[in-house]
Amino acid sequence: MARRARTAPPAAGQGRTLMFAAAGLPLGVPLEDLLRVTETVEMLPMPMASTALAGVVESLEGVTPIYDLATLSAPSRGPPPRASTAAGLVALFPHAHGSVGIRVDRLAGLSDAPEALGPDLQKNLVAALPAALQPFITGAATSRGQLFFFFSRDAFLSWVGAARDEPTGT
Amino acid sequence: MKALPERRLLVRAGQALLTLDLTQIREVSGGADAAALPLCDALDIPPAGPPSAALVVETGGAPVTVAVDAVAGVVEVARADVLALGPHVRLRAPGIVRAVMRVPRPSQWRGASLLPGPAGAVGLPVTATPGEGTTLAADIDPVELGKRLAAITGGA
Repeated sequence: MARRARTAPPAAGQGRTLMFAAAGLPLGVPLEDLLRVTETVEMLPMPMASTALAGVVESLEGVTPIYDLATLSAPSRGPPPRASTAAGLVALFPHAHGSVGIRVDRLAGLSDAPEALGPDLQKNLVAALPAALQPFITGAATSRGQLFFFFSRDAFLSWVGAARDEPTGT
Repeated sequence: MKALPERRLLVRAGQALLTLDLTQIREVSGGADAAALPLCDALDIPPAGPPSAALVVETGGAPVTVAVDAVAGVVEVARADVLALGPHVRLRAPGIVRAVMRVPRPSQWRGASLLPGPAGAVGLPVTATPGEGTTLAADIDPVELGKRLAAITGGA
């Protein structure tokens, strides 16, 4: 079931935000949106996988797909890059069928009180991101002087559940 | 009545472990076959090393010889170790993988030096050598694999 994307970032004081980097971008997500962050030792690449699907792991929730946002931010010309199947950190989100993960480059700490930027500045910063990633971003803020973008769990899960539109390559 | 375990041929194709339906495998032979279709290419799996074994696979039409990186052998998988694949696993051909199987991690992979072929037909005399722990393998739907191989080789 697709969920509606959050239209605004969480307001200050609404809970803690986990800051991390994924696809080379500084991102933040409310802790309450996450299941956990864990380290994968090995990942099973899947046959005929969607470009962004790095593979699956067995988690407490069952078979969990891990997506690599870096493949979405790559230039559109040329063959699509392969998602990395290397071991590493993943952030897991709850899903109706168990859990869904994204690859995480590194963790950057917790923020108790992110400072929202002005609406125009947020709009300009988001517009400068790769187009394929913009639907997952709901705003920008700073924490201890570090810029980050709010990652929308709901928009991401909605994308995961969207219709397959990639060619099968036969 | 207790459910019987599933029996599959466990192979490595590129970076993925796959379990194949035994009824679909006509022959297994060691050594690289230059004319064989790499299974990792056919299934769009990230490549790894050079192939070291060849399988003759039934497709519903003409059999197709595919190359795999290595063969672990036949594994028995308890029903409890057959894990469902939800729609949140985005595949471009969703029917090609029918489940994910928790299989004993092989301690020995058979390739050119260990499996001089042809090694046999259905009911392979090769049993996987289990190592420590388990790992995951994608269980391939034989009908969908047959269709895909036939489409690629023009043997439909």
